[in-house]
Amino acid sequence: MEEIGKFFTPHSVALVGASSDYRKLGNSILMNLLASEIQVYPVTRSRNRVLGVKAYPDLRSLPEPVDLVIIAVAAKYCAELMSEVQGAGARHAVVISGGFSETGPEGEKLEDALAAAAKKADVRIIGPNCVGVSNSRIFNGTFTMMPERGNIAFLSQSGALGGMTIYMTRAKRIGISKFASVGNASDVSFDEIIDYFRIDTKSAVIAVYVEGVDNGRLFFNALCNAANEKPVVVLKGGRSDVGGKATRSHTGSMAGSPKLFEGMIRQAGCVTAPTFDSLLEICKLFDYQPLPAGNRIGIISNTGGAGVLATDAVSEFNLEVPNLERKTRHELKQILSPMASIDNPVDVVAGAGRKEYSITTELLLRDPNIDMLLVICGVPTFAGMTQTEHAAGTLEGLRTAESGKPVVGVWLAGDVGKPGKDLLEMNRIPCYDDPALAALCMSRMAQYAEMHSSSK
Amino acid sequence: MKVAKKIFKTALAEGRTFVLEHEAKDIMKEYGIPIPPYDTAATEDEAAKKAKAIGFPVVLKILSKDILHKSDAGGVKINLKDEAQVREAYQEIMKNAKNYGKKESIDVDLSRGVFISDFADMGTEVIVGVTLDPQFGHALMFGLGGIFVEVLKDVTFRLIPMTEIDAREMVSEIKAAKILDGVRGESPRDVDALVDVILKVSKMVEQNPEIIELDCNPTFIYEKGKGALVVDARIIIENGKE
Repeated sequence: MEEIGKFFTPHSVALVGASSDYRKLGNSILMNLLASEIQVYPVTRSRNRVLGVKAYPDLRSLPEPVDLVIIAVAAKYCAELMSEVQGAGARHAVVISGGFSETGPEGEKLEDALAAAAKKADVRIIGPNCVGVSNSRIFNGTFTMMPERGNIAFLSQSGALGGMTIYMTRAKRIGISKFASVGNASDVSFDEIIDYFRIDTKSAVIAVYVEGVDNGRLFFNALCNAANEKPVVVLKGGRSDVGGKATRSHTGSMAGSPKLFEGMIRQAGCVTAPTFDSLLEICKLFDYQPLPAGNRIGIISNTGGAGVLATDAVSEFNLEVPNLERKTRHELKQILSPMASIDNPVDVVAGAGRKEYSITTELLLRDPNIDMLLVICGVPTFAGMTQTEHAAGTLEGLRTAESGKPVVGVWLAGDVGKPGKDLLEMNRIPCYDDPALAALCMSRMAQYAEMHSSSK
Repeated sequence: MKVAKKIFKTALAEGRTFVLEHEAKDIMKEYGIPIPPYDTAATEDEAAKKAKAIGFPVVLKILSKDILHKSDAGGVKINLKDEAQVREAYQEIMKNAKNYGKKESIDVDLSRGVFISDFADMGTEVIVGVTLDPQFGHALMFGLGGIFVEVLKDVTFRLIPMTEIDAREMVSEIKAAKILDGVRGESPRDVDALVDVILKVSKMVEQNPEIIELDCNPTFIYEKGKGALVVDARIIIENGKE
């Protein structure tokens, strides 16, 4: 595992296939490397300088040993490069190049040759046919963007999808610690990277996108071990029969029965994400908030309708909406409007502002019947209320209560709600647009907490 | 464990990768899996005698290395209430088996006669099965029987070996789980007995990895405290060349 860590923490990196042509991947990767906190050595036969940096004709000519070599040249040259990688002092190489087993029997031969050459040269490789790896604190060895810095380790089987995810994490401001796309995984496998993410202290949550694996038992064991340490969220591609076929021609591995896979994930103590979008959102909740002690949820809303939708959604995910303690109800009655509904789901009604959100949040978090809290706000643009006062009130109540219970927000009203939403997210309260997504994320959190409270 | 190995050896020596019903039941008995009383009979007289010993009503099934799908070959007679019915059923099964042999142009071995079993009372029908997945190896499947499995695909899996927590999760996570709590005035089913069957099947396959496919179908679950019975069992083993 120490060994796998080297892929993510190099001090010096050589890029074979560096290019000054902006249409080539070797150009995008080089730009990313040059923006990183590491020593970079571009390797190309065609030029002395690339992007203003001195370039070398081959790995043998480098002035000092390197820790990692990134390869972005045609598939047929990759195998023979392995002994040069060894010569350059590196034991780790990321092969970005495509044109291997994913293309058919010819490519499969090239991949076998690459794996054999790497083994002979005592070089571990990630890839081929991948986007690469990045560590948001040190360097970006991919041709996609540097992810937003954070605590989620993300492992993706699909290269392009993994790359797109990074763009999404930027847009959603979801923080990633380390990213790896394994592509065809001809050497370093899924389970090895999961093992590394498990011991990596900079990663608090592990997100996995997987289609199929060669050695299912190793994968299962790695998931079991990882889930005992930190939450692991898995999105499985190739669940339908049609999807299953697409996988076969995609990464060259066979997608197993979706139901069997689902059972395996649960058995391993991990949780599943049903969609791409929810994969990141569930991880964000795990990252931001503490685990709940149970599945009883309190709901606050200033619109009756949203409260009803939220109650429907959480019930569908087997979360419980319990009655509040008599004392809580009594105190709510003192401060809320006579029109308010003072039992769970609490409807504070439209006139409620900062004070009402603050006290209601505090009272529900203090209620022993409540394990987690969902705060909903349809931000009003009337009666002199500010766009952020409900969010500020929620934060205030949360701080006063000091309950250690997880809190999630749903801020409606689109752009009008955005400043309040941003305020919550800056304070690590995940805030969604739809009660259904909030319910899904909270149900996964409750599921993980339950699985790991009884087994430990 | 020894019982199983011996049975697999016999099967492979006879050129079959499936296990005969009494053999499957012998293995299951070894693992404490609940099954209705059973026996075998190679003649009509023997069948009559053993049926009486088991107690009526009984079920008769053809026992032959050449017939895997017994019903298709007319080799199953159920709910036989007395000796006369057993004798008649025996004759008919033998006749059907011969005709089946002619139709399929195979020389059906009839020397083993029939499998006789107590005709179990109807319970809530479930399936406990095992498959060998190319990625994950042996996995156990559980679901309610009939349309729940065939049409609604309401099943759940766990990898073998598994724990009691896994087994209990399986039972509670199928969509039709409420049926086991008792619906339409029925009392709750014996979930503990079901969990026990699941765990014992898991253990049996863990210790006998030659098994590549297994179906306990149907398995009947009775009301709480009255247990479960694996009524029909099918075991397929791998081709022997390790």
